[in-house]
Amino acid sequence: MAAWDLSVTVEDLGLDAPPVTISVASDLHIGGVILKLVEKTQIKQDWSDHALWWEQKQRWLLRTAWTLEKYGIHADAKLVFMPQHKPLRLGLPNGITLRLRVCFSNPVFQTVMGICRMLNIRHPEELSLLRPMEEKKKKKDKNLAPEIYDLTEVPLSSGTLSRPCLYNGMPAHFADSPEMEAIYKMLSVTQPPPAPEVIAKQYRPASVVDKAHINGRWLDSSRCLLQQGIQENDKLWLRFKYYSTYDMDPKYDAVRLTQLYEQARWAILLEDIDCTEEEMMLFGALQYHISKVAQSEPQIMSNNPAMDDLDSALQSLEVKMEGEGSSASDLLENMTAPELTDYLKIFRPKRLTLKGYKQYWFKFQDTSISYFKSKEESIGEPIQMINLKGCEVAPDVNVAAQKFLIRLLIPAPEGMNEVYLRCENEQQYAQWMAGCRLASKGKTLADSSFQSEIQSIRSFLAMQKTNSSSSSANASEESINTHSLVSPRYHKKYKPKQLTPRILDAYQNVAQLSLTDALMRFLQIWQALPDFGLSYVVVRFKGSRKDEVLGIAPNRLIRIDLSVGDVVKTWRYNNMKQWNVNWDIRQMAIEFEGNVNIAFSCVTADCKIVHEFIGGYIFMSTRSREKSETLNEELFHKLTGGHEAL
Amino acid sequence: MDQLSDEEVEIREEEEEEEEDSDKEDQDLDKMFGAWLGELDKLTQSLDDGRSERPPQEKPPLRQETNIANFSYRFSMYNINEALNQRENVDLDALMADLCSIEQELSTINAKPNSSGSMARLGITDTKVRTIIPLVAGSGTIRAPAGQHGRPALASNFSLDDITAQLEKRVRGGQLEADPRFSELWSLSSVSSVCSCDSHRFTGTLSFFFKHSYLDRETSLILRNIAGKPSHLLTKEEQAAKLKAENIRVALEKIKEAQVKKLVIRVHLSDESSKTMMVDERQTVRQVLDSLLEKSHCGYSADWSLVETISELQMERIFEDHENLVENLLNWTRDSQNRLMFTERIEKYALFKNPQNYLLGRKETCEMAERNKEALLEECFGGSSVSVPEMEGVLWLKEDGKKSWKKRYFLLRASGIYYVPKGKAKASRDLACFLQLDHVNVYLGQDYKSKYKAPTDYCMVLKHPQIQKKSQYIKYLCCDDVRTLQQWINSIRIAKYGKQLYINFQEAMRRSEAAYDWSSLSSSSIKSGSSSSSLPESQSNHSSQSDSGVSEMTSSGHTRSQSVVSSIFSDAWRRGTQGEVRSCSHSVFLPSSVCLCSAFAHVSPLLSYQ
Repeated sequence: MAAWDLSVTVEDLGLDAPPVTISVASDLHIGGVILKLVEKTQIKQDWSDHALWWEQKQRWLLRTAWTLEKYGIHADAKLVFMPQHKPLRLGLPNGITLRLRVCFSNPVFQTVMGICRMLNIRHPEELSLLRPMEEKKKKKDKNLAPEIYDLTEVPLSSGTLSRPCLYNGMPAHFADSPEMEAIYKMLSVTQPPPAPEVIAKQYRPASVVDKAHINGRWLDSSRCLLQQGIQENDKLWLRFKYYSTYDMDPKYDAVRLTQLYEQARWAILLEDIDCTEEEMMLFGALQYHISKVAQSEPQIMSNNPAMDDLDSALQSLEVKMEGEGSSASDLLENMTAPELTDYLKIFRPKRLTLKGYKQYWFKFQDTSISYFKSKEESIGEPIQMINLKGCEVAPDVNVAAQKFLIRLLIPAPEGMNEVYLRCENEQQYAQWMAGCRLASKGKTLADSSFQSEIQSIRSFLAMQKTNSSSSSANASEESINTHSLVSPRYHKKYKPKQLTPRILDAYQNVAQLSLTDALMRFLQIWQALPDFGLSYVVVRFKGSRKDEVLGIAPNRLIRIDLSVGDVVKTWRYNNMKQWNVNWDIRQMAIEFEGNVNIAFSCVTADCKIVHEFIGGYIFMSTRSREKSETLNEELFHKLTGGHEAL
Repeated sequence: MDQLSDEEVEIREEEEEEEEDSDKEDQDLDKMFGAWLGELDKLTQSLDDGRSERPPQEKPPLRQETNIANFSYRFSMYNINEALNQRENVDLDALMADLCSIEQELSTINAKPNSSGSMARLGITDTKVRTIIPLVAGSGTIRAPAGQHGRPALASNFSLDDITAQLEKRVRGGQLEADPRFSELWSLSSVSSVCSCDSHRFTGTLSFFFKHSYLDRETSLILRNIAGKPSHLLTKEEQAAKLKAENIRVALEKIKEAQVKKLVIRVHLSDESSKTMMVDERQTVRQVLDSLLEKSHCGYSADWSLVETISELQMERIFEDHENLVENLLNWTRDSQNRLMFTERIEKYALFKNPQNYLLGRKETCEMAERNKEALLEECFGGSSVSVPEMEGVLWLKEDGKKSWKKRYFLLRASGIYYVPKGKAKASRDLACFLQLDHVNVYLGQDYKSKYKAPTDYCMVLKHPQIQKKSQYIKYLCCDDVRTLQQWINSIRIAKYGKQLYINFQEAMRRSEAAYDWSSLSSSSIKSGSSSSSLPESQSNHSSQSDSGVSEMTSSGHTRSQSVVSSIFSDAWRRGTQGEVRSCSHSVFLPSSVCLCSAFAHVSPLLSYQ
């Protein structure tokens, strides 16, 4: 067979170096071409990751056994010889940017799997890559570019292991050096609340259409990065794309849980998802609590998943034994019924409106408060005894004004009785407030959470103190501006001073949660929002003349009328029979049970993206019953693939 | 317990001679309690005889005191009293059986610790507990409370001091030193008895509290020091202390068992008859239902419910299966006219039998295939978080203190009920919180059209369970029709209880299926039998999709891609095997194998081509 010249650009020689020309025959297979190429360059290095990229056709030549003829390559082909794994800047949900080597030759689905394996995130199918928003060129970038954490040195694991071997709670490659450990900590521990200015500066989608535009940026899972125009060192975002979290186990999912929380937190702070004011306050309280607990117990979080099976078994055994021992002694301590006694002032607005606060000797025992005329008379019958079980407790505190009120709403057969207790100082307030809160839940002062409850109340008071005193000048690590916890809308509506008591109010219900529980609670409340899980796309329904919005949720599709903003129609995947994509006219047609057919073309996103969203959710729903650890990648591509799947 | 079911409830027809008769009944009651308590007395004495040889020993003052050996026994005199007044022959025998079983429980607990020598001292506690009862019986003054006919309240009939004095005497006399090795652990320092007569609660409540110290200073110090130390690092002494503590813990748990409160309740049946039974404070509604069903020999169905009716407020609520019955009943006032009904209610689990009418936010009732229902339920309740049905719409709200009703647009969210303030849009951030659901229950209002001039009789009420009288803290909402009302009530239940509701239902179904298996009926027929749509307006059964708008067309109208791949695919599909998962460049069919393992149950029409 006749030999001809094939010129190949070898990236390792430098960008300006002329292409290397080798003499080949059409029946030479790709492996042979590479061999010749490597010999010709005379560079001794590991070429195993390199492969040929055919520029005109935008495809990799990965099958080394195929001949040039089979690939259809002739002398005019422009080939590039380069590594399949290249560095990429990756923005994580928590705002951190990593630089790591990712695969440019496999479908994005596999690239994401590789990234997740490296970062120790399970269930990579829920995540995908997003093209970032174009950053507006600011005036000569005054602030330094955000720090980038380099992970490019991490060896590429070719293994198909679903779970990397862990060392000390993290993947082995993070345990190599203190710097790497620090990076892992950043991935697995929540970030402190952002400064209010940072939140205000971020792009916030103002409308459903704005939100829809973001979804046009998802990369195609069935094609590789290079085919989608992503170059070495480009920046992409890694985000949870499918809002159907499966099998979340805080023990193994430190990074996954943290990143999902961060994504949810930002969605709320930037009003990507709508919520009510009450819900916002609760989210704020949870964020405050999470950041506080994360700072105080970061070790537990990162170490928990670290344990090997044997280790964890041993440890849990030990904990159990200790736990039993201490529970016995706890129980014994329970036996001494602790009580609080002090002079407090009481005010019952209903009965004695004119009299105002009156001082009595108060005694807190079990779940009841009783009061006496004076300390001396406290042996006899109390003037009144109030059982706090089931009551509502609300703070009314102003540290600057030294106002420490506990507002109690006590249920009685006749309705709710309102009672105010006035404390003299912080210390007293923290104790009695803690007692009231426990009692309202039916717990006594003997409960183990009493001390921590006092602590959390005091720390929150401290926060109010720093807020009210000289602005944020002395912003120590302890104090958090409450504006950091809510969306900018509330920055305008409330001053931090006004916001603090409201968040404090919500905080009392979550103050006892552990870090993991608090994270899970945050996610649960987020998932319970009516608009949760909706990804919007602007579409044009067949036969309609105006643009409308299609919302894609984990279990349904909704149609939103743009002029009114209302949901006009819901279709559930449950009833779906099939869907088709007409790639020529880029139209999607979906058939539901009962002869319901809809068809639409996509305006703000490619129809492949919509197709992938729907197929992806169907795929996510198949996971629950299979129970297998391995990812059924084939099924995913079948459901989401499109052209390339065949 | 079984005796209850054997008892026929007799209802006398004459209403005359009320006073005299009920007095007689009272005496009967006294006698019965007297007899029972006498039994206990004997038992106690025999125990005392064996123990009173050692002189009582005074111990240093206590540091750790508590009411561990608090034995409290509650029973509702009101309900018994009412029964007496209605001249029903209350199955007091059955009641006696219940009481005796308590007594037995106590004695087994007493026996157990004795068997392991180191715990012998616990016997003391129990002995003391027993001694109380004869004392009370001795005073012989158990009377029905002042609930009706001006009877004196129970509490007023005996002097607290008397009892305390007697108790003290009795207990000190009966005290004994247990195993000398551990004798330092146990000291009885003070005996105080408290007769708690909470004025809001049942007057018939008798509670006695004993205060004990049971750990000496030394042991407790050791325990405090070793808390948190791994076990292998402990010294012998410390380990001994730990073992001690462990033993005590076990023993204490047993004591706790014995301290369980019991409540005698009266359950009204739909045929105007009633049953009296004893429930213990740990029992859930489900457990009480089970025992009622067992006793009453009525067919098992998941619809059997315990319903609380608050006659004063004209409202009722079906207790959820997981709720604690005693806790709920203790919210009643002492002179309450409230009733506990045992009756079948289809609305209890209609939500799960026809989820499509509640979960999809549809305006009309419709049918759904069984497997689709299951899929829908799994989708809503199977995940990590439960999605609250999207309930929203105009409801009437009763204005505080007035008999006027105002229209408002309400929305239900997981975090509570909201309304749209005047002049605002429906956007989440502008919603005003009407109330949060943590502290309130949802009740069904009855006949409010005449009581409160409500626009319709389809009313629901939200209130704290403890509120029993008219109050500004009770919120009344009125719906236009019964279907809206049921949707709201059920959606609020979902928001409030979440997955627990579904668990309750599954548990109830499991039991009813088991019951039917036993009676050799096919469970499937029962299932479908009870699955008929429970909402009254089920006749409006038209397809909901017909109004879906321009973009929808029949399948004949929609175009397929004409590319070559298309025909390849459809050929392949026709040839293909049924179970295989298939998809192609332009079409994705939901194949049957996907359906099997997912929530997406459906029929693929193309399969019929084969």
